[in-house]
Amino acid sequence: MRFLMTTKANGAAPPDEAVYAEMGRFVEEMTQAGVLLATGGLDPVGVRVTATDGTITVTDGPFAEAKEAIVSFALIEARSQEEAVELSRRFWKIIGTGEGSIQQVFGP
Amino acid sequence: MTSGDTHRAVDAVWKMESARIIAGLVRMVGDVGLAEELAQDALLAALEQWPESGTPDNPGAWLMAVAKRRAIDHLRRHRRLDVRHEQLAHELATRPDTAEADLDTALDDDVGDDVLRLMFVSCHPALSHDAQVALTLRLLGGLRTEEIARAFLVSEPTVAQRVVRAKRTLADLKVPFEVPAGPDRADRLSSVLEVIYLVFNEGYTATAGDDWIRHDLCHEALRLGRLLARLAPDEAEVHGLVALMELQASRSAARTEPGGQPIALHEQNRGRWDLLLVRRGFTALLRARQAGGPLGPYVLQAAIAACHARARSAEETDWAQIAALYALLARVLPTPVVQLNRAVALAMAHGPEAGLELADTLLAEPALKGYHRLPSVRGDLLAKLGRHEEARREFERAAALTLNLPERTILLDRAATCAAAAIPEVGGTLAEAATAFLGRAELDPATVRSYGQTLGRLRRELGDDLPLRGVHAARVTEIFTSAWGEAAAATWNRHRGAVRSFSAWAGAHGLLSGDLASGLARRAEPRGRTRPIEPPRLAALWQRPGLGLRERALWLMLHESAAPVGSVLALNVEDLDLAGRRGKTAAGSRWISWRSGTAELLPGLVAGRRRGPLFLSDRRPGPGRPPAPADLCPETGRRRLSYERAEYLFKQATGHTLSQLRSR
Repeated sequence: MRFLMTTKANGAAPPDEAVYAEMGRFVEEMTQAGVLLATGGLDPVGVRVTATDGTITVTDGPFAEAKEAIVSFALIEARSQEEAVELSRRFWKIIGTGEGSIQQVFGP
Repeated sequence: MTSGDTHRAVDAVWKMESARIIAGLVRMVGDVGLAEELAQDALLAALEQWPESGTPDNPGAWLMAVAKRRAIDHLRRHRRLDVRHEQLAHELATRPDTAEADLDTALDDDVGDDVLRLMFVSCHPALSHDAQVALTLRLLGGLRTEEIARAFLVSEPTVAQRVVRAKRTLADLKVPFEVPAGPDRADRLSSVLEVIYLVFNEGYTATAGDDWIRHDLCHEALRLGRLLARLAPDEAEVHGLVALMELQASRSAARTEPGGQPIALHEQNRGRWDLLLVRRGFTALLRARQAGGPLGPYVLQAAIAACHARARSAEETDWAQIAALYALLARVLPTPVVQLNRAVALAMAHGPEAGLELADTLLAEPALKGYHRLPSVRGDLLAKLGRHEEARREFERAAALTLNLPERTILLDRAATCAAAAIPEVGGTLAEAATAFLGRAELDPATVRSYGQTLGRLRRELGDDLPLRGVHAARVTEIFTSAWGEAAAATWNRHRGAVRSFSAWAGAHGLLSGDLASGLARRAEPRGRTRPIEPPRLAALWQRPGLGLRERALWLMLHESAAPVGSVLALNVEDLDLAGRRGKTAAGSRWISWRSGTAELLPGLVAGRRRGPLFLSDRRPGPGRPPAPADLCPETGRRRLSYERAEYLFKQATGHTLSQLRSR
């Protein structure tokens, strides 16, 4: 099963070097284990595209409050939702403070 | 959190941690069976305590600590504490607060090596394949007995017994808990790789069992492979196996139809290949090359899979490269199946003769007796060489050998195609070609008669002995103009159709190039004269299961009465003369008469109604569009079935129009 984990901007100060290093190790371990398939940071500003009956509107961001914007994602392969939750626990233990979500990916 | 949720959470943590925990315990107590028991105790403790205390912050470490405590208790009880264990027990006793994390670090320095040792032990060559697989999935994958049983379609006690026996064998042989070194290492490693690939293939190729579970097996094998690659990064073959599995798994969504029928590699929709897995496969293959050493069977098979993955379409496949890789593979893995695959690659790279030459050498191979792919490959190559009759026999042989039903259908189809292609080998004169064309089994007698008239005229005008290649479109046009130039358009078009079909068939068999009907324009047929549906189709329509009563009655009445559709739909219940098998039209001036088929159905359709429209629509009219009072059934509140709706339903069901139901 694949899951998409996303994190929101929490307005907290950027993590220090120790956290970066630990996160780097975690990401490397997860990648090697085949758990982490893809990951990346996201521009919180973005562009919004709306389509109404074929009419397409493109609007530049920002849209919501800064802390609601999704700023990073990780696509993972896990055996169950519980395993995904456990992996995300490990992730947040390193970060300390923040908010995010886990959603199962259907397909491909 | 309900206790069910906690159980699933415990299970998830267990699957992630069991390998580390059991491996650590085996090192402490020296026995796989005992280590697993102790680990199970820890799991039970978690199942008991977590629902109340909540899932601990670091569940893996919690399980590990409990398991180790049990191990130390056990060793104490059995007075087998050596200095090292004494030390551990002391640490545990004196540093209770920080014990879990610190002890973990103390013990985990070489936990990776422990897991690797555990892999070598559970894939020990003294165990049968079944036992190796069951033990590996249980100890390293954390799978429950019940899960293994479901995946391999065997009973739970069977799996449990395999595991117990395997543990006993390991204890009896006093198999040391170590990563083998020296000349033994390569053999033992290939045994580990074999077990992992066996698990993968069970998931990838099994023809029976639950899809979802099989997908899980593939995933489990991939996980074990990646784990092994991390623990033994210098072994090229380990990376080769991982690459092979990643590349094969990347095609899983594209390799079967929704109904489960397999799709051959060259016909797969490459857009559905999982590019994330393809990329992982390439990375693993790169690591294999970096690890160096001679090219082993897994690296070579992965390199072949990579050639396919690189080709954006089947036509772009680098078959010369694949054939070269198969030649290398045949040297390290000299099995007949590899040779057979090499024959296919050779044929693709250098033409069917090259492939057939190699495939023919395998005919005497006892290992391939009863293997359907040999005749199927030979059939394919023979067909490409135009040896259709031999090809047909090979396809039929292959079909008889395969146990896979969808595959058998495909093979029999190919045999039939070859049989059809084999006929025109008799010759190339107009008479011979016409006879072969009309002699095909799939033609019905009416078509043979109709086509026969056209071709008969051509033969009389042109002469039987004229080679087919000597027949020219201009000459055919002349014959048509003189014979049917004055005839009705439908007649002209019918003869034209026959010539078109004949020349398409002859072209497909290489007897003719060009279209003999190219000078014959289709003529417009006058409108208004609808062609009735042919009797066999009608017979099939009446036999069709699941047809609604209203549809069956309406269609039969139209057919039997030959009345206009509008007047049949306009019939009212009160105007029916059921006994006389007739009904008065709305205008009241004419009678519509039917026969026994309709008469049988009408009482059911009337269903006790006394007046109102005979044929009703399925739904009541919406409030906005009230129908005329004459079109509304006073008893059911439904409106009369409209011409549009009736026509639509018939078109959907048969592709014809209602007026074509009229018999002549």
